[in-house]
Amino acid sequence: MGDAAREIRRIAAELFDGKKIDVLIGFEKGSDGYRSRPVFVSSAAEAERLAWDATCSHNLAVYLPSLFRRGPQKKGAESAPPRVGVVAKACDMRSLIALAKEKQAPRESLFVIGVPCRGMIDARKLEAEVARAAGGVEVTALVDGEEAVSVETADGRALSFAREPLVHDACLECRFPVPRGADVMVEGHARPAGNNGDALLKEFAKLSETERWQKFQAEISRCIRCYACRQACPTCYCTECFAETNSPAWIGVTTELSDTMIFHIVRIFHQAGRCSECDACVRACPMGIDLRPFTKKIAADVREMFGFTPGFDLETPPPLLTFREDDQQGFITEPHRG
Amino acid sequence: MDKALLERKNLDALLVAIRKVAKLFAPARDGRDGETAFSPVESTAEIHLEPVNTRLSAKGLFFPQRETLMRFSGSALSDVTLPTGAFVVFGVRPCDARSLTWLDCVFIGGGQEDPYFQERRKSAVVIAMACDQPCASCFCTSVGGSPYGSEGADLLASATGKEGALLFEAHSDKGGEFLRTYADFFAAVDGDTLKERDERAAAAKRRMKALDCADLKEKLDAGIDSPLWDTLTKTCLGCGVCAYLCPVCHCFDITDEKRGAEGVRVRSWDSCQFPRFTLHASGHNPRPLKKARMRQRIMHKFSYAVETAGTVFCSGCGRCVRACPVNLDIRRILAAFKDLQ
Amino acid sequence: MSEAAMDQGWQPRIVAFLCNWCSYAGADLAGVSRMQYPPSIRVIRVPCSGRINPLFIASALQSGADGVLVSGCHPGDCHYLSGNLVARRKFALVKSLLAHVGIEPERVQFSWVSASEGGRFASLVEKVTEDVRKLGPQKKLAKVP
Repeated sequence: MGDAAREIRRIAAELFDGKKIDVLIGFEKGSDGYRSRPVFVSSAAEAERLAWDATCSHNLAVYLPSLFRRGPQKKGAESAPPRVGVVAKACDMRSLIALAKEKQAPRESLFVIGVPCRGMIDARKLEAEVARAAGGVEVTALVDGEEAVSVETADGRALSFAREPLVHDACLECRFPVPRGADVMVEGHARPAGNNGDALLKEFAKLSETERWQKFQAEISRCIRCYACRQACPTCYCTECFAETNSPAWIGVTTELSDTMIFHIVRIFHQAGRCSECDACVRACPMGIDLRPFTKKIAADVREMFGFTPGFDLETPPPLLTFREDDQQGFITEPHRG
Repeated sequence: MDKALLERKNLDALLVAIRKVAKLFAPARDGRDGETAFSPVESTAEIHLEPVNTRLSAKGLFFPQRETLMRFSGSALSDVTLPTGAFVVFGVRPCDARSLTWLDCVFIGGGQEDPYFQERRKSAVVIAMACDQPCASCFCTSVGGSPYGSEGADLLASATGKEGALLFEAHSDKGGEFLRTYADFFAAVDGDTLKERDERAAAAKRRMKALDCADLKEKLDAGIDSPLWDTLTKTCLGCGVCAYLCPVCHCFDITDEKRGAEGVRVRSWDSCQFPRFTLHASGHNPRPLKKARMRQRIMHKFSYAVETAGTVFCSGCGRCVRACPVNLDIRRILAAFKDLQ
Repeated sequence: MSEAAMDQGWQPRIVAFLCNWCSYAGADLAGVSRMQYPPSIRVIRVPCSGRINPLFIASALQSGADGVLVSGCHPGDCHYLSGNLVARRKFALVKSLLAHVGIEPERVQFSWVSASEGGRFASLVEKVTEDVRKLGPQKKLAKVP
């Protein structure tokens, strides 16, 4: 998608030349010629590094809370918050709105460059395919086509792989591939919206209680407590996470299974009404844990119980900060009468 | 005999014989994304040696993620049970094997032996597997290693290309002992096989681009206040992926877990990249910023370790490069500093 | 329930988080009225059901509780006006998520009991105790050091 990359560079340069932003968070080419990595650029010259392709799968909103976190300010002498540009897919945008709603990043201090998304591919899957096809040869370029992704190798070969099988599973279920509310939109088309009928979640929910517990345990027992999921999540921004407090020490710090299961259950619960289902937690995990049957559950429950989907407007109060007189209470135990 | 040939048809039988007296760990499919992990295996069929390294290194077999150090009841300490049981680790890449010698520097020696780590090291035979297909993320030759390196290996196995036969070379007393114990499964090695092995080793080395790391320590020491530390580390998320997957990172935490008066003292992996890693009880944190933490990681590996252990603490395995959620590339940081004037 | 548990005379141990103004008072009323109910609950008094952090429930299960009961004022009657209304949303989500991952839903139950409902409280404990007894000892999240 060379056009999107060029557009992003052009807009970024304009913003810096017009002194509209102090820093811009985007993507640049990563290791080995085809991964992407997040990058902070602070000038029109540095903006030349910005890139955009099928491997830009990170959620850049994760960097926002720490940019705006400031210590106590002297009244009357408050420093102005930084003006931050950010390149955003739809999932990034929704996280950004959730953060603005929670006062972690003022919307007026952000300039959002929106990019419609065709679905991002898993760079690790691609790397494994290249390693299998061509050994450890270095890749020098990646071209993201409509149906296929091609790479050029250092020894002059061109390898082509079908695009869809490389796309992250979560992208296949994306309901909102076009960012809404960006300050400027880059041209391009998005993949068709749809969530596959929430097939993943339904498939999991159909299992028996024993099977669900076994699957949950099997996934979570892979966890090495590296916290990559938490650190990659834009809405996990607590400076002291419940998993690390020691008075009270809610859970142990090791990979003991009960502790680890509670870490994931509670972290996912904390995302209720805030999670944009961006898949950052799944992509960050070095152990390949699939958290989606659980993250999607909390998001689906908030939708069904409270009619709320995060990331679209700044006015609606977060669902756990409010209530309705007629909120469902079918779950309440009614004791039988004698 | 310090070299022997294992024909493919004898590999299964050898593994069965090993299993009779020891546990056997080797890279096996871990069921996800085609990746592999060191797992207990029973037969050759379960072993998968991929060009891409195992997810987690072999360090977990010697320095586990969670280790119970002792049990207590009230104020009485119960017996500390040290890990026992002979085991063989097969298929360790030279980068991981080399790292074991560095873990030895940390956990054994200097008059202070970690009994848990030491027991496991004593109980294990490490059979390394040479690399013929180094990956793009590998950089062992930039840090003094090699795809056919033997440091840390009791035995180095390599594929001969002769119908799946493996050449075994002993590099320690334990390795020699192993070949003697299982001599029935091995055949003699001829000069041609050795010549081919040298050619393969050279070819594998040639496939790798080496970063010139001469003067790196001096450049890093001189650049301690460089603004590069800020610009190169801005995107770090502060998770533990690099430290946990690294074959040589060894920071740990010790905590007590109790229920009533019964409890255990456990050791678990820790990472200097966690924002609260250096948080003091007073509330002061000497490394409050990302740049300070990443700087410490690089300095520890490429400067301080050289002073204290005489070697860099990086084997070039590339796991941090592949697995870092934001693709923060250690090679980029090294390249930026080695070019610093 | 396992034979072993029955043989050893296992009794369910249930941690009950009761809000001070309604449910705790209701439990108290059951007591002074000499109403009998199973001695399975261990009461933890909280100012309001809104004080309940899902980590309390997780912690109780980790400590080996066979069941957890949370009870507050009826919606509309909260001493702090809306604590239980905000809590109601949290409780619904927690119950759903725990059940989803395979924790038996009968182990973690939520109810409303007012200060004047001693009889209702006793019946509630009867019901929850029976539900948990049928499931046997809780092993899924119990942590043994």
